[in-house]
Parts: sequence; structure tokens; C-alpha cells
Amino acid sequence: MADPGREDRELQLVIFQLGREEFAVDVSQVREIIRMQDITRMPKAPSFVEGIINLRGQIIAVLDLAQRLSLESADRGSETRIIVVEAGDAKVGMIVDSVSEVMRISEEEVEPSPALAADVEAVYLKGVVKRDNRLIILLDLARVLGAEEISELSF
Amino acid sequence: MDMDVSQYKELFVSEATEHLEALNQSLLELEKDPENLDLLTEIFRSAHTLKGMSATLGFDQLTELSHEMENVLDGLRGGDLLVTSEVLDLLFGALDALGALVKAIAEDSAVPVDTRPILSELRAVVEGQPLAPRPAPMPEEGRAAERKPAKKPRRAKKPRKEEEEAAPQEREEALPREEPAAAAAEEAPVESEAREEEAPPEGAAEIGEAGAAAPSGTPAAPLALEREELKELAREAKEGALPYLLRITLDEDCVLKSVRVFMVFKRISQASRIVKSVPPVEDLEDEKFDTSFEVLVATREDQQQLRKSILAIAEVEGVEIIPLEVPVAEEVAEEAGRPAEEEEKQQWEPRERGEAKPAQAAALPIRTQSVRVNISRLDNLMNLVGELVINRTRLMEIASTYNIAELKETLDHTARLTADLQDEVMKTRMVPVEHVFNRFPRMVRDLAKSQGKDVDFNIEGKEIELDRTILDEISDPLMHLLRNAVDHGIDYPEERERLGKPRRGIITLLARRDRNYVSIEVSDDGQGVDHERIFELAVQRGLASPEEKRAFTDDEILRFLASPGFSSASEVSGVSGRGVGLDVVKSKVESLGGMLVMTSQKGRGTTFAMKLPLTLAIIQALLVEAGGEIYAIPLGTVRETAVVDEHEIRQVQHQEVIFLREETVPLLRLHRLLGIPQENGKGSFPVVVVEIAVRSLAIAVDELLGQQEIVITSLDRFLKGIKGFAGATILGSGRVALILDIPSLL
Repeated sequence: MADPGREDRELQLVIFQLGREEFAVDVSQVREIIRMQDITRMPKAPSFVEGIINLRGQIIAVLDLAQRLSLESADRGSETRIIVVEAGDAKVGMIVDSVSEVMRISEEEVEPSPALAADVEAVYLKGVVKRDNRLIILLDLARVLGAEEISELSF
Repeated sequence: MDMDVSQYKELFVSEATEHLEALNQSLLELEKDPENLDLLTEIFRSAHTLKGMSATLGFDQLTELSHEMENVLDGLRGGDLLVTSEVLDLLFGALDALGALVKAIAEDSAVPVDTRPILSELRAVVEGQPLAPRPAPMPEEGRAAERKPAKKPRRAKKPRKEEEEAAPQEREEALPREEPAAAAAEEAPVESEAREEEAPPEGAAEIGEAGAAAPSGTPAAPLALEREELKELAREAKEGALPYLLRITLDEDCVLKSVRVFMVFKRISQASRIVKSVPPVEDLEDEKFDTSFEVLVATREDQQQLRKSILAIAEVEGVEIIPLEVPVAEEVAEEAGRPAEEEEKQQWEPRERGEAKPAQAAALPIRTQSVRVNISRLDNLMNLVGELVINRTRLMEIASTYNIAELKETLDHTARLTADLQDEVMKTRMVPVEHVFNRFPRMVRDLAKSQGKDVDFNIEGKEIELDRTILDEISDPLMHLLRNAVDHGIDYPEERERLGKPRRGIITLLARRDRNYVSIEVSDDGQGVDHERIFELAVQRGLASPEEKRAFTDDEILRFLASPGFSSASEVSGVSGRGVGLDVVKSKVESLGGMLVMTSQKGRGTTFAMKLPLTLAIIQALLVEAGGEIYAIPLGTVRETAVVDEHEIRQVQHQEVIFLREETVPLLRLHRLLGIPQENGKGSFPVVVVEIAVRSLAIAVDELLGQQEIVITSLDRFLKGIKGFAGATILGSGRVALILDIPSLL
């Protein structure tokens, strides 16, 4: 039996598509979702850093999330979105193929990710959610955006 | 009743810190000039003020310690004690303990500071003195009477009494009609009206008194006004605000006078304009006045109203309001046209007085008034100006796209205004480097002493101004460089003698303005750096191979010192290892958009120069295009631009070079430095010649776009690790451009 503190906790997830998979991030970490826009390239940055954009006067980095997770992604198009998330003290945009919905689930529905559940390295995953034949992968943003790794990669 | 001191804490801490700094400074001077009684008096006065402030707010430990310190100072002043090196060390020790206490207050630290050892040492010194009765020294009897230990019990009680009186009223300041305040106000008018009547004949004399109260002993001065001030009064009068002279008298027992002054000013400025004060605000803030001061205001407010509300402030004993004649605008204009015969100032008389009185003495030097502003306000202001600049640029682009002449004209004007605004905001952020420099003489002295070294510490250019943020940031690096200089730079006196150098070493801390940079240099005439030894170490650490030796110049070898973890000190002392932390200094300076330049001669000394931008936020930059993106190069580093033809390029030791007026300049291609695609098919291309340290480099780009003002935004944590960029900026089009940091690209 789950411990009582966990029982009623509800999660709200932003569901988005990348390649053939469905992913989710906790809505509390999402600042906004914007359309694709002109991105200034950032030379000398790791290849998954797409560049930087002007978000209403603030300059933030934008990642190609597919590259970051070593996935194939659909071509950029009218569905392409940038999800702006805040993790730690940094605001970062992540390019995804499309954003579909915000889903409410109870925390209990999050299962530890089976090793072969997805094409994504297990270290980036928080768990998976199964619902109506869908398998939704919950990303561990802190890991995905790990700053240590980024500066390591940049040298 | 529990007093809420939190609202005064900040003010107290900042004032106490200033007093401590001043004390440190004066003690250092006293060390050089032990006979200087004026200096002693100044020190005594500072310690006394500190004690009073602490007592008012109930900081008992501070009060006790400054009291004991005062006793020692008193002994010195009366000649019962001698200014010896031991006594000075003890006083310095006491200052450190006071500093620790103030810091604990500032940080709300619960960790107790143990002042007992220093207290007993101070007492021991005082008790060791002969108990001969001494004549009351110095012309400040009031204070002299108070400072005897016998009076201590009275002083201990006083603060509590004041707290009770002061606290509630001060907190109600915004609502001056609260009971105690109203009571005071009711009494007041009668008294002050009576005074007002007798005011005119006394007027000048009293002003003189206020002037004389300044410790500098300024002779009695009439109320002299600058032409600017007259104009201001005339302007205000047009708007219906009449000029008055307010003479405000504080309680004789008032201890934290500057706080009262601050509150009085705050109250007055709610509805009136303060044109000037006698003595000037700086002196008022430093409590360099007796009990009364004068403020010239222009106000629309009712006299009685004004009087009441000022009297409502605790410890304000009386307010006199003297109406002045309204200066006529024409008169002022005429005034301006008249040649300045006597002086730039004009007598200003109360309007009751018929004939003009001759000036009794030279007018007080007029200083500008100042206001303490929280630095975060200035940051906000700066950000807003930054956005304004961006918008202006955007508007200009629109105007030129649609080619609207009228809009362009207006925008040109707006451009000038924003430039001025920006300039002013920038200036408000500039502070003289002495704010930071003043901390160091004491540190260098202590350090040299503890190591048995003789050091003369010189400071030059302390009036040079730098952006407040930058100044704060370089304080630690500077301290590190100075420690390095004492610890490893300066050699021991015997060693110096052996080398034929004077026993006393010299460390110089210098600031100077250098075009768009401020250079802050720490140099010593010590042992210098052994380049051979450093290269050996670099080889040992795998940073270079022995064969490369000839490829490195001396200055380049020095750069190894700033590699992370590099240390050439054979034994690392407790203070600092040569090189340890130099990497930290270097990266700090670079993160501020500056650079660290080192030069050293074996046996002759070492110089570290930090070249820092004047200000962080807005800079002039050259915009260039490369690989389809726009990049900004800070104009400070740009020497010139040129156009180079492919066939003009020569090869020297596998390095492309170009010739610019007889000079051989290495050519670097931006697309290669950045790893971006190159634009092809052009026979010639523009280059930007930049100056890095003393070298010139030509950077090839695809296109020059022109010079523009840009607002620097630093890259967040996420991208900070990527070398080569000093930040990014938003262009008028809304696009983002990276700001190149050429030194880190190489």
C-alpha cells in the first residue's frame, strides 16, 4: 500500500511529442509555450544547444530536445513549439515536435521506467505513465538540463 | 516595551561602517604622525559618535567596547599614555572587534562575538596610566565631561529612556497626528512664533554659529546662494512655492543626530523642495554640526503645517520658519549677465531686513547635496534605460524603413535625450575607487607586520570612478593581489639590503583612466617572478613542453600563473600561495568584461593590472556579420577597421598576417574562431583590428554593419561555461546578437 502522504497527490503534466514518443514534464516547471521563432546560433556550444532567443527582453537558451535525448524528430513545421521551462535558476527553451494537452494524473500512476520502455537513456527519466494504451515518458528536467554536462561537453 | 530597531539597522550599519573606516584611516595616519593632536581628537570624536549611536540602539557590546576604546584614546590625548606601537596594535584590534560586532548586527548573526579579551586589554592599558589629574584638553567640554568612567551608569540608562521616547514616534512618522506628536505640536507654535519675531536680528549670527559648529572651524558664514540656486528659487516661486529658511534645532541630548536630520529632510521633501542646507548635507550626515541646522526650502505648504510636522519628529526641539524674498526671474537673468565681480555667490537676506548686510566672512564652500539611494534602485533605473535604448533603436529602424522624415527628426531628438539620460544614470552609479581602496592600508600594514616586512603602501588615483557593481566585484580580487604582493612580492629587509635595495619595500595601488577602461594596478618592488622556474612548473604540470620554451615570451609565461591550481610557491604560506587564486582573480576580471595583465622582472618587482570597463550595462559596440549571424565587438577593444584583399595576406610561421602601415598584424578569421560557415567568393573582406593586452590582431568578418550602443545581458548559468562571449544583446529588430569576448576566443 502506498504511504498516505502520497495517496491524493495530483500531478499536472504537459504532454508533448518528440519523434515517435510521447513525453511529459510537470506543469509547475513550465513557464510558457511559444511558437518556433528565429534563433541566434550559439557557436562553440554543444550541438544540442540550438541557440538563444529574446523572450520579452530576457535572453534564454534554446535546446534541440531531440538531439539532447538522441532521438529523431519530425521536421520543423507549424506544430513545432518551444516549451520554456525553469529548472534550478535557469530558464531554458526546449524545441519539441508538438504539444498536445495538459493531463491530470495522480502521483500513483507514475511507474518506475522499465529499462526498455523508450529509446531514451534511463538517466533522463523520472518514470512512465500508462493510460489508454499510451505510454507517456516523464522527463527528469534537472538531468536533461544538467549544467555540469553542458559545460563538460562544450570543451 | 520592545523597540523595533530593524528599520534603523541598515542606516546604523552603514554609518558605523563608515566610522570604522574613518577610524582605521586616522589610526594609520596617527601611526605615521604620533604627535598629531588634531588627528587624535578626530579619532576620539569618531569613537565617541560610534558609542553614542550604539547606545541609542541598545547594542551593549558595541557601546562597552567603544567606551573602553575611548578611554584609551582619552589617555593618549591627555598625554597620560604614549602612542606606541603596542597601543596602536591594541586599538586596531579593538576596531576589528567593533567591525565584527557591526557585521554580526548586519547579518543578524546569532554567533556571539567575544569581546572580553580585548576589553580587559584596553582596561589594563588605561589602568597602567598614572592617575595624575589632567587638564581638560581640547575645546569640547561637553563631551569631555561625559567620557569619564565615573559617568558610566548614567550613560547606560540613557539609551533605554531614549528608546521609549523615540521609537513610537518614529514609527508613526507617516501619521504625525499620533498622540505624543500632536501634543508636541500643540505646544510648539507659541514657542516658535515667539522665536520667529526675534529671529531676524539674530539671523545672520545664528547662521554663523551653524557654520562654526563644523569641526573644520569654518568662520561664520552668511547664507550664500549659487546662481543656480537662485534660479531654482525663482522657478519654484513661479509655480507658487515660496522660499523659506527653516532653522531646526535638535535636542541637546540627541545622539543619533544624522537619523533625525534624515527624517527631517524626508518630511520636508514630501511637499517642499530643498534648495540647500547649512551646513551642507554631507556634514549633516556626518553629524558635523552642533544642535541646529538650516534648510532653505521652496514650498507651497502652509507654514504652521510644516512646523507642526517637523516638530512631530522625535528629538526636534524647535523649528523657526523665516520667509525669504522671492527672487525675481529677471533679476536672476540680469544677475547672470553681470560680470561676476565679487564672487559667484549672492547674499540672500531674510525679507524682514531692510538693508543688505555686508558679508562677514567668506561664504561656506557650497557642496552638492547628496541622497543615499539603494543600489537596487539604480539597477532598476539602469534596466529601464536599457530597455528605452532598445526601443529607441527599434523605432529608428522603423523610421528608416518607412522613411518618415518627421519621425526621424523627433527620434534624433529622443536619441539625444536618451543618451543624456543614460549618461546621468551611469554617473549616479559611479563611485570613486577609494571606497574600496580605503580598506587596504590597514590590511597591508597588518600583513607586513606579521611577516616582519617593511612596507610603504601608496595609493594613487583614488578619485577615479568606477561603476558601483564592478567596484564591489573587484574588492576580493584586489585583496588577493595585495596579499600576494606582501606575501610573495616584497622580500625581507635583510634580503633587500643584500640586493642593494632600500630596506622598505613599496607596494603601490593605482587607478587610472585609460580611454574606455579603468586600469587598477597592484605593483611591488619585490623579488619579481622567476620566469624559468614558472616555465619548469608549467612543463611539470603538462601545460607546456620543454621544446616550446622559445615560443613563449616572458609575459606569456606569466600567464601560466593564472592557470587553475597553478602555484609556484615552494611552500604555501598561510596567507596566499603565489598563483593560488590568481586563476580566480583572472576569471573574475574577465567575467566583468575586463582583463588581467601581468608583468614582472626578476629582482625588480611585479605588476598586476586589471583593465576594467567603466560600466557594465551599456557599451558602444561594432556590429559585424559572420556566417549569417550578427556579432557585437565592444568598441573599447577596437583599434580600427580596414578592408583586406586575399592576395595581401602573407604567411609568417604558419600564421596568416596582414600589413597595416608597416605593421605586421596577425590575421584571424572569425568563422574559424567560432567554427561557423564562411561566406565565399569574395576577393576582399573587412577586418576589425582589435587590441588585446599590447598585441594587435586583425579579425576577418563577412561584413561590417556599423557602430551601435548595446545593452549587455549576461548569459545565464546554462550557457556561461561556453567561452568566447561576454554576453548577448537584443538588437533593435528584436534579434539577439552575441557579444564577442576576443581574448577568450584565442
